Amino acid sequence: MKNLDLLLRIIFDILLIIVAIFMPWWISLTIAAISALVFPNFLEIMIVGLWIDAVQFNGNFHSIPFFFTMISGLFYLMTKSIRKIIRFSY
Amino acid sequence: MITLYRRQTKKFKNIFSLNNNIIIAFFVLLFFINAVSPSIITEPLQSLALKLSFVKNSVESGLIGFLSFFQSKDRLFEENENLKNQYASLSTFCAYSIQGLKSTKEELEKTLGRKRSDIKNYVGTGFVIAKPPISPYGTIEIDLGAEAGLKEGDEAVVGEYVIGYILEASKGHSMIKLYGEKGDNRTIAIGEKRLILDGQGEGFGSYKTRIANETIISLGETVWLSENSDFIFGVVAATSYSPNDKYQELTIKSPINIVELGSVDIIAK
Repeated sequence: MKNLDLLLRIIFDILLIIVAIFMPWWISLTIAAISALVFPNFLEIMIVGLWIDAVQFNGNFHSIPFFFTMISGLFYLMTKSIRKIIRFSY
Repeated sequence: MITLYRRQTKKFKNIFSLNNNIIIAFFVLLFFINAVSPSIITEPLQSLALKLSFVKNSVESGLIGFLSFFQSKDRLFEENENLKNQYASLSTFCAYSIQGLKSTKEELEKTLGRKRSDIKNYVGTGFVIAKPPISPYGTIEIDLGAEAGLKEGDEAVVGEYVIGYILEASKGHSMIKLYGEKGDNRTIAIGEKRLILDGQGEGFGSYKTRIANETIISLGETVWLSENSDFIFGVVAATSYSPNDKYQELTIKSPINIVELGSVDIIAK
């Protein structure tokens, strides 16, 4: 089961990398958010946020520096609390 | 299938766990970088994105090229088949056309008396390269000479009409002396009865001769040179019949217009 978790996580990571590079920010951020809810300690969401900020918005989203990085960091912290209450099973 | 479960929360954990510390450190670092120069982070990521998009474009174009290679191969194969079919039908059509043209040409040549295979002693056909006033009066020059087998005295003919003879055969060109020029007196044969008369050259391919008034000569009767009866010289163009005279004068003229002449056939004597 643990191996399946790891495999799924790797698949999601690869998917996330491809989506973050070639797709609009809202698609990659949505997938990252779902992944953060499914997988424990999904720190990759921060990398996705940083990538969106740096590549698609040149570090500034409406004059807010690293907006998506901060949002993804906050979401990561939130998922930690959410995952204490609910748990995804497949 | 994904299902949601309610978890049992028993105790409060320390918010300064390792993961949270990493997040906090990351944010602090980001804050300082943003204060100093955000390009420290953005530039490497942007250059990486550029490289990745370049790789993506290369892969895309490679795939498109690979697929189009097969498409173009199929198209070429199809075109090749079509062309082969077209070539087959066209070559058949051409073969029939050539056959038809050959027979038409033979018929036309026969009608015009040109270069027939049954012409005896045919030497060649020469193109006229000089006419009076460029060449001497009463002569024309052609582009065939002794090299092509022409000899002095060979006859020059156009269709079934003889127009002159080779006066001078040089290496690559020859001079033809035209019949019926001034001072060229020859024995001629008129009509089916071949009345032999003496003709005096009058110039421009014509002879004048006299014959007894009783002899009936009609206009258009064929005239030969007595020395060459294989080819016609011309026709009776005019008669001057008068009941008071004992003789009538005949004008014999070659129908060949030297001014419009393009080529002549040479017949060995």
